Amino acid sequence: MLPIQTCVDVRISSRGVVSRRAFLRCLAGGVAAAGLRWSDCLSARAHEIRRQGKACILLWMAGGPSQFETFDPKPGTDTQGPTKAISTSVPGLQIAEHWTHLAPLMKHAALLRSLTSKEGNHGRATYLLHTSYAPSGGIVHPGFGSTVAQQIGPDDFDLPSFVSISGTSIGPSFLGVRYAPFIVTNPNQPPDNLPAPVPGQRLQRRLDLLRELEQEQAQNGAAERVQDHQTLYQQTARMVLSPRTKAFQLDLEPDRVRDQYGRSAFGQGCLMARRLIEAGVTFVEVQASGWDTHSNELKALKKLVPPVDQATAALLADLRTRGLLERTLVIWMGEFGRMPRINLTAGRDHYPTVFNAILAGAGIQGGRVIGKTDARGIEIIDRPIEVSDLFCTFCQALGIDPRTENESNVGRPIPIVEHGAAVRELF
Amino acid sequence: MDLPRQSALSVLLLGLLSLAAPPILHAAAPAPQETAARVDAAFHRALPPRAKDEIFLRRVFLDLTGKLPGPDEIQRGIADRTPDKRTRLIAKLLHSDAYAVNWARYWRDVVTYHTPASGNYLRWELFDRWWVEQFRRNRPWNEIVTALVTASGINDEIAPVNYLTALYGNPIEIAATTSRVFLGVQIQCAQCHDAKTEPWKREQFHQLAAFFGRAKLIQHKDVDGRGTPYAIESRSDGQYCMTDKKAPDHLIPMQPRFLTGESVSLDASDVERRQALARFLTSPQNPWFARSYINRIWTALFGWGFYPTVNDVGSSKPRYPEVLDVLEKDWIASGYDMRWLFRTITLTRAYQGHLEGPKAEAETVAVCPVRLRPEQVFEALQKALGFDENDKTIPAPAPSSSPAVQRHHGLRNMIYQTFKVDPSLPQAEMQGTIPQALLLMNSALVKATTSAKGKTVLADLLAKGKSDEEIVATLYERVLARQPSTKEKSICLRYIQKVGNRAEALEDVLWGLVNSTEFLHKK
Repeated sequence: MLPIQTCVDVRISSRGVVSRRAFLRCLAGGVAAAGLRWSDCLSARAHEIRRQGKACILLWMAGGPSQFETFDPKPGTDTQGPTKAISTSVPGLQIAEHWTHLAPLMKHAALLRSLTSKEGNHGRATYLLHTSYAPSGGIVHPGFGSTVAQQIGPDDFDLPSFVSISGTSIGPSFLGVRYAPFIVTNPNQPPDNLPAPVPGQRLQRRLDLLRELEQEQAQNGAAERVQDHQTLYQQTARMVLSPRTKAFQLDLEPDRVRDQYGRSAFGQGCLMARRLIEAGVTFVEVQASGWDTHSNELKALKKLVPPVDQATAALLADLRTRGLLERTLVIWMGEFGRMPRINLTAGRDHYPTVFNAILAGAGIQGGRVIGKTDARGIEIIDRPIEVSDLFCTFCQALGIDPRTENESNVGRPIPIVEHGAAVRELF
Repeated sequence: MDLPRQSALSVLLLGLLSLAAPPILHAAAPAPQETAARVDAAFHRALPPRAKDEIFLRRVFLDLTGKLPGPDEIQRGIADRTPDKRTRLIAKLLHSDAYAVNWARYWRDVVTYHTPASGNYLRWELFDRWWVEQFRRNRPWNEIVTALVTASGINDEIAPVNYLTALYGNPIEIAATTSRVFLGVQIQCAQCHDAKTEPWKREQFHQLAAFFGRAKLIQHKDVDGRGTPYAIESRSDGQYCMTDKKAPDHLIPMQPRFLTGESVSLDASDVERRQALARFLTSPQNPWFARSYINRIWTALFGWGFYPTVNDVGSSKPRYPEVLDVLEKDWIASGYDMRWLFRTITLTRAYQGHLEGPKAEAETVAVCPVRLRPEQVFEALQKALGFDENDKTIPAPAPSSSPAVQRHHGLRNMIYQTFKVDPSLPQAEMQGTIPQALLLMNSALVKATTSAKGKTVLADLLAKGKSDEEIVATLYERVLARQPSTKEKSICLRYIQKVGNRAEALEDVLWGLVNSTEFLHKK
């Protein structure tokens, strides 16, 4: 059919990327009358996307974890404070003492000790570490979860390709609501409004009635809106009625497994992430908050670290056992690091100059340690890694070209990552 | 780029206006009816036939007050036979409190939608109340914008300063947002390089940012449980600098220079800089200021605008340039009177007309379907289903925002967070989401309030012994503010018969109306 062909031309001319703006332009050019919808345009490209089976879990440490009390301790210096260091399964690699579950697994993960940025404000840095761009007031960049869902997510799937657990993450912006994070507020219960309050048969009956009534309404000048709305309702109903929603039900896991991850919200969130990846979801973000330790840091960390340590280790081990780690990139990071100087209230303030991150899976070589800070952890003395380099690295692991451009809301194509290069030593 | 021809007279008028105190309709401003007639004429194309009263009523109530008309308001509106009933209704709605709240929320969301700022940077409730107050007083638009860009002080005391603190007092973010929101000029791409699609140079962006170069963000220590609010204060010296692209270590001090060329010296103080900017921004000579506001309001009311997007008035030629010229000239003459503009637009035949069928926009000038904004969805649901906003017995799970900015509470918060969308997006890009569909399909709120049992609208109708036909008609009136068509009535009655269980079937009908496209749109 001619309209579809028009749409395909638009797509090819923007380097194989579906361009929303170009699509809208093509609508303005008169294709709208033929009833072509944005969703048609997307499904038309289905055959082009190779399902690579790759997936990504982002363990987001909201607030900015201290590198001294996580993975770059400086024992015996004035900057370290009382936290000691312990050995790991990687010869010569020491991490902070409270990470006892993770220490034996470090040979399966890579450590980046030389991340650096200029954003020391939570909101701005969270945006940067989710998009690879600093906020600029005008262009709104899509979050990485939405980007990954758009780039490598399956086209025909009855669950959302991007799920965010215990936090809202950053939205899809100009990629469109199709790639919005589906938010799970609390992993210990089903997602909000997911179970239907009526039996499936009655829901179906209601949907049929709705469709019939909408046909009447459609004739009053809103045919396109009704069609979009019906598409959304079909998609939503498919999800509500899908057996795959069992992935959200943690009570189907043996108690033993739930205990391995720990019964904390973060632990159960990590377990849900594994279940979702297994079910075919492409990107899952799990948030652990509380890392903004401006005062009484040690006391805060005593509560904060053990559940995160236990859950992260359980997730890596579980993914490995199930053979999922090969195709799943696991990222552990926050928005910045913390000051070498301990402040007057026994805490550490924001420090974007140095922070660290852990990567594992999807081709990342375990046991690697990249970058080095000086003896007191004040400056990077080897291999500084910019946020754009980090995102190029994620892209390489996931098989995405970081220079792929999408049409933005300001009419200018925006690459997934504009600058930087992948950290080659990790692969 | 076309600069609007500016008559010496309107400049003079504006000069006088700024001396006059309350911004009620200025004597020299054209009467809205007259401008409306000239707007209709300037389209030079077919205008839609006058809309039926029930369509007009739902439209004008939602547009001006953000609420659905109630059954009594609909009946009164239809029964009234006087020729000027729409004109009187518009005047009445424009002076209602709901009007102030509705448009205050639109602007609050426009200027804060993109900021991830936490509660210390954005005192949301205070900022919200400030916007309502501006609309209640009908403060002229140029004064409002001036107040926002020139504000100083602590953000839990001085409400408009939240515009600046929510953008972290960051000159780059403030310049980009100010230009986009108040001028419809997308200059932020030029932050890094000369913009590809627009005539802006990198230098020009940073010259604009330099107006905010001596405004400093300060965090206040915790005082009396106020948290740690932020303030904007003036720096006594220092320059805003641009990085030299050829030598990244080299910083070039930027002289504040506006997009139209006016500038202040490098020595200018913070106050001088920002006051000068406010003058340049709101000047009648500024080719974008009035146009971008008019285009925004028109777009919000009609679902389409003179320019393709409200953020992009700067780079393209408008549709219907003569219409825009009429509105621009007269609105400036009114002294940027916001009520005047609403009244004028809603008095046009273009607005009061209605065209059925799929080609409404293409063939004539008519209102197209517009998605309800999040607060309007809440108001509509509440009015249709008749629940108490503060009902604590109904669970109200909402996606928590992190960092947590204090937004609404309870049920309103649930709807707001689930339906929130950038109000600056074009209609074609505003799409429903799965969580929105899930909320209307499955939530405890919709389940409880569409039930045939308990204290609900439906239970009440059943208890009163109404017939199926009467109940269906009432449900349509409450949810969609109109009577069902004969066909719709018969679909519903057939459905009730087929299901067999009357109460269940009526619950399904009510569920269907609340879940319909029409409920979520204004047309």
